Amino acid sequence: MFLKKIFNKINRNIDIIKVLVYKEWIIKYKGTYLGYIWSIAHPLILTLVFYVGFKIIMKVQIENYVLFLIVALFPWQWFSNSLAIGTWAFIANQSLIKKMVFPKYLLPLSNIIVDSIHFAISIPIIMLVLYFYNKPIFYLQWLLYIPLMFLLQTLLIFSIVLISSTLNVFYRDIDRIISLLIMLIMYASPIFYSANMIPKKLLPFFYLNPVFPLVNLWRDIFMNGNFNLFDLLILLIHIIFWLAIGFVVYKKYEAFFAERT
Amino acid sequence: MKLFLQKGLKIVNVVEFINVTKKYTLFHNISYKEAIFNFFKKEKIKNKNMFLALDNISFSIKKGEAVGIVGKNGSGKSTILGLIAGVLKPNGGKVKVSTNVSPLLELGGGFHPDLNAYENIRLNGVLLGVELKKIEKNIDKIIEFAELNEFKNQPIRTYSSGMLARLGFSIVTQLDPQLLLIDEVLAVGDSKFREKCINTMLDFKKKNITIILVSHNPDDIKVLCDRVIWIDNHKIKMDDKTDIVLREYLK
Repeated sequence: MFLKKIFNKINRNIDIIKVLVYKEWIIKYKGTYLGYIWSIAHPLILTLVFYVGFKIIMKVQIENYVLFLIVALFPWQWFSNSLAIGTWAFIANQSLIKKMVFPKYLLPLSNIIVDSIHFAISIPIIMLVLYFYNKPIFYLQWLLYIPLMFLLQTLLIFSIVLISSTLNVFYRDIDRIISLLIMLIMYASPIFYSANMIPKKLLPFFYLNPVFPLVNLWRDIFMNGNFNLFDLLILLIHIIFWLAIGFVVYKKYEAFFAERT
Repeated sequence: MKLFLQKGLKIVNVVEFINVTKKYTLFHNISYKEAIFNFFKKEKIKNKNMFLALDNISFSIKKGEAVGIVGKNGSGKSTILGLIAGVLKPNGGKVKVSTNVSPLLELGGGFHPDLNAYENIRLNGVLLGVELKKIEKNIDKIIEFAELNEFKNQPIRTYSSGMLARLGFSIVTQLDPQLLLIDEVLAVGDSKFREKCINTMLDFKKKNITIILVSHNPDDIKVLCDRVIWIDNHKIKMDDKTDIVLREYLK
């Protein structure tokens, strides 16, 4: 009886995620001709900009720079997109929240899942670039590492978005803060530079940024098929910390969404 | 014996309001300082800057009853439905609801304008708590009942308000609700569909399904409801048989 209740609840949540993800997907591409191309255009253009800026003009000493950039920019795109859009998850779906009772945290979660699908279908592009640089395009370990990283990144974004989307219902300033934060986090993450270029003394401060270990992990996985346990540990600490805060904030304000959005 | 009776009574009452008070925070009045302060405080006396929507209201609705709610705009009728549906939480008192609640049936609420009828039925149905499988089984029946066959593949932003009301009404009624909450939807449909709606609701009444109807049209209420609650100034002014309340209300 008790088990059946839990089973029903999980089933219902899966159904909700299905319809919400489908909805977000449709809305994202309504009226666009190039559809999916747009989701990879952004990181590809950024790659080009960084390549010209840092490799050709400033002449950084990093090998395979395009590959180096791309393996970081695709996961970054997922993070920044989900954070920017997820912050509006409750406000954008007020017509649903005002009418029906369902676990509202599934709204930002669905946004994150949509962006994770985008990231998943851009992995072949990463493999293509690996091929051009004469690197192995597949490691057997990926079958374990990549799903795990999907789970971890989803959890990380979810915990942060839970805070930002909840507060955004009450203070629309949060959106401005988030756009600033996204820019700051991007420069504080090893996207166009590598972690070992940072002075040893400053490194601990960089680890305060949750995306720092995340990008490190992705790059190591794609370029070397390695999984860095230290970065994993820091990332887990970040997830637990932010998830705890997100949970408290969400629980505190969730009941007022219907009357405040 | 006494215990047994109490238990029995609990099952009979589908909806129970016990001294329910609902206040809304007025917008733009919370400062950051207050917000941070309030975060660590329990939800208590933050009375200033609050708008009283329902003032200490008590009533109960039995299974199978059809109850109309009347009152001026802004008197708190929709707040009552919101509280029953569970989307709103009372500030004081208790709201007890003992069945699956169907949603608030309001115009255009709960739909996404860029999705077509099928997709909206799935979205709406699942969020109402119906299994996706069951919705798929009933989806054509819903479209047919709403008489939207021609437009079923169009995004619903192209629909008229009457068509939206029809879609909303069909979804809720075709998915076996136990308790119907209806907030002024009958007004927009054409007379033919309105008749269909009323007939459907009369059928529900026969099947002992509880109906709560907010309406400004006394005729609809007369046809459907056995009992009317008149909300005035955020309080219950009258709660009695339909003709008795309506006679006073229409004065």
